[in-house]
Amino acid sequence: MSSDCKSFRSALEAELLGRPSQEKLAWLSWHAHLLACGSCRELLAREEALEALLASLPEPKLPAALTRRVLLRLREDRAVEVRLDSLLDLGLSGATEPPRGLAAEILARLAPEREAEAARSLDALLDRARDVAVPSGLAARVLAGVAAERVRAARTVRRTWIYAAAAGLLVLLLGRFVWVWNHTARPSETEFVAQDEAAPDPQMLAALDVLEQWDLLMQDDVDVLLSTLGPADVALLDYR
Amino acid sequence: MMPIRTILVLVLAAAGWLGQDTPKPASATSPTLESARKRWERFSPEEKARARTRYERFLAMTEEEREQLVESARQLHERSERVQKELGQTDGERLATMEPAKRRELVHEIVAEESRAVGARIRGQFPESWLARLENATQEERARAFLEFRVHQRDRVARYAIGELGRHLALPAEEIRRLQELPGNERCDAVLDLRKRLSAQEVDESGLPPGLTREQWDAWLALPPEQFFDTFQRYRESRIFAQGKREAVRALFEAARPHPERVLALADLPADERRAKLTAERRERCVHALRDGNLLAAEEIEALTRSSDAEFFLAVRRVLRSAGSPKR
Repeated sequence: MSSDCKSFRSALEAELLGRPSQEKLAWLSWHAHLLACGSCRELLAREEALEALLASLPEPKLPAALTRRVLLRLREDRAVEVRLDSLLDLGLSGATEPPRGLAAEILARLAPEREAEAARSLDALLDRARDVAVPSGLAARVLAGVAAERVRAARTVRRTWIYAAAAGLLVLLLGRFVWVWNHTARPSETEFVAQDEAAPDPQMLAALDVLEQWDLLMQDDVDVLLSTLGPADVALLDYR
Repeated sequence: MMPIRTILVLVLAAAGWLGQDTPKPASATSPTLESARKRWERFSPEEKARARTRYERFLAMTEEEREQLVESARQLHERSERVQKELGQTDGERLATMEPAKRRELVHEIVAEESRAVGARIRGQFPESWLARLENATQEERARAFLEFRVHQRDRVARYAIGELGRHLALPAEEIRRLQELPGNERCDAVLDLRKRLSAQEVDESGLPPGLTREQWDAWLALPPEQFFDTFQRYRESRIFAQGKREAVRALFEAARPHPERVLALADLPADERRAKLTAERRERCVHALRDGNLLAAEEIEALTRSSDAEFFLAVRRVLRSAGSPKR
């Protein structure tokens, strides 16, 4: 995994902490790293799909009778406490004075046990509540429902990329045009005037020496022509 | 993902295209052609019209004729460059203040004079039959005949020259044969190379040529064979008449050679007037040299002073040629 992958995945992880949202993940899909990394694109797509699925699930709700049953049990426990206090008051009244706070002490000692019992009862209740009945085929229906939305979102992202790339290309072409315009030698105004004459043929330019020396080369006196013998030809004259 | 890939490819292609070099103008590909184009742009409208007319005639020639004219013009152009360089060293300030057209005209005159003088010397060594053929040909045919002469020399004379030079240099027979079988241009290069080696051998055996220092000679030896031959040839020509008993001939040689400094001195005159004055000066110098050196009888000199310029300078050349030129 490259450092770019690690960087991208750290950013993704940061977005997934807490309560991730589809908007945040959509923003991540602009990450430049995705242009070059297929596996990170797939990872983001999977996370987006999972987030879409989770967002589509209903909020879990406790059964309506649960509150009533819990309150009833608590009320029963409260009734036990009240009855014990009454019993202590009745049985010991007038004979020996019970120590003050006895009831509270007993109750305090009973409290952990009662709390444990209450917790067990609550757990049992919550265990029952967790068993939320999920209708069969819900997942398929949810996925089918979000599929169109996902395709639309993907198309939007793709279209945005195409527009961005087209704009980039346009800028490049414009830059190229400006650059070429600035670096290409263009004839000046005087050259435009000069071009009214026929431009010289390159082959004629190649023969310009001949045209300039024409009157010397073509005169009746052959001495000038003889003078154009090269050193090697002159050297050979000694051996005739 | 496909569109992204496609866009990536497009972006990369555009970036690559953006990074390409700007296409250079065709003229920039050939410095020679570019230099010719600049020269062309300096032409006046009349000069351009004249050049176009000449080009029509040039195109009507055969390939051989055109080939020889291009080669001859190249030699003249090199001579012109050298003349301008030499004038720049001696009269650079005066040249710099001249109008470009005027400067071109004067350089052209000097090159023409020098070319006639060089040609006259070569004429003395040129085979009579070939010379007659050249003089009887039309202007166009002359170029073709001249090319044929050069090819003939390279094919046949060069082999003989290599044999002679190889013998003087005591080269093995196989090496001589190998050099003789080289292609035409390479065979000529071999002749110049052997000439240079022979000159070096002669100096080693007999000492430095008169008037040369060891440093000068070493500098000459460092030149390529073609330049060495050219330089040494000019030295030889300047020394031909340097011996005591031929002092008179040397003076005539000096009198007859072109004097570029006089062309510059008369630069303000119209071209025709300047040429006439230069020719008159040259004739006068030659007459003095002929008289002072007793190179011709007085009545012959008197008759010459009444002859045309062509006849006069032909006689001067004959006197110079009769003094002989050293053969190697």
